[in-house]
Amino acid sequence: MQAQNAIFRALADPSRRAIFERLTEGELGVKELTACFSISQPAVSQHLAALGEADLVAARREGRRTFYRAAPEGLRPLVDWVTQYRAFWTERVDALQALLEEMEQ
Amino acid sequence: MNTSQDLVLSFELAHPPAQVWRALTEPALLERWLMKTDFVLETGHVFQFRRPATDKWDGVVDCEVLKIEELRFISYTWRALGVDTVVSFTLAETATGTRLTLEQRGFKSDQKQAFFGARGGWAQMVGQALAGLLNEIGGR
Repeated sequence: MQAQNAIFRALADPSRRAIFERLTEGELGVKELTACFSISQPAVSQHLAALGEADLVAARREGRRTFYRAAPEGLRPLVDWVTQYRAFWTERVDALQALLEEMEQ
Repeated sequence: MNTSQDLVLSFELAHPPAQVWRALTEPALLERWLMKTDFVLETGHVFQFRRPATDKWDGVVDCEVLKIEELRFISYTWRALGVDTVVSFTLAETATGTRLTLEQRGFKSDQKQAFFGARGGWAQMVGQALAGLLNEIGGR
């Protein structure tokens, strides 16, 4: 759940989501990213840090520059649908039991 | 490898299989415990479950009836949030009522395609859709 929360927090912000999606198309540096969006370079760096904390973005250093790319494997915890559905079905079957009681009457 | 992709839940219900079967197969009853649906008890029937749409999830589950064994077993595809799965219900009569076994299994290859096949939109879709589902589960 922890990892999921970090991912939801990271992707809840539309700018971060846009940056993440842009990076799924290929690796970019902060400068190029800043040019893509109408936000400041420090803001882009901050968004990249948040995405990095959630393991959604990976960084690669080359000389003095850092390049960023999307790390879709970071979405893995979300993909764990079994956890989601266990809670879903358990609740639904509770409702089914209540309905079965009502049908008796 | 497959175990993490499968969900198996078992419930002891204090009601006879015939009654449970009705709740699983009559749309008016399905709506009351699961979701609104145009389900028809007929192999191959294509139908949907629907919840009110939110900004995070369109609330639609796409389904197709796969197999029916009257009063004993029913399975259908369950496609939601970009994840293809199969849901099945098995009913067994017990001394106290019915044992209901619910299984949900993933389509591994299709799932991969759903997540990584559509460039750009998938991240948002998966993130938002599952967040929406989480919220709805939490909100009840």
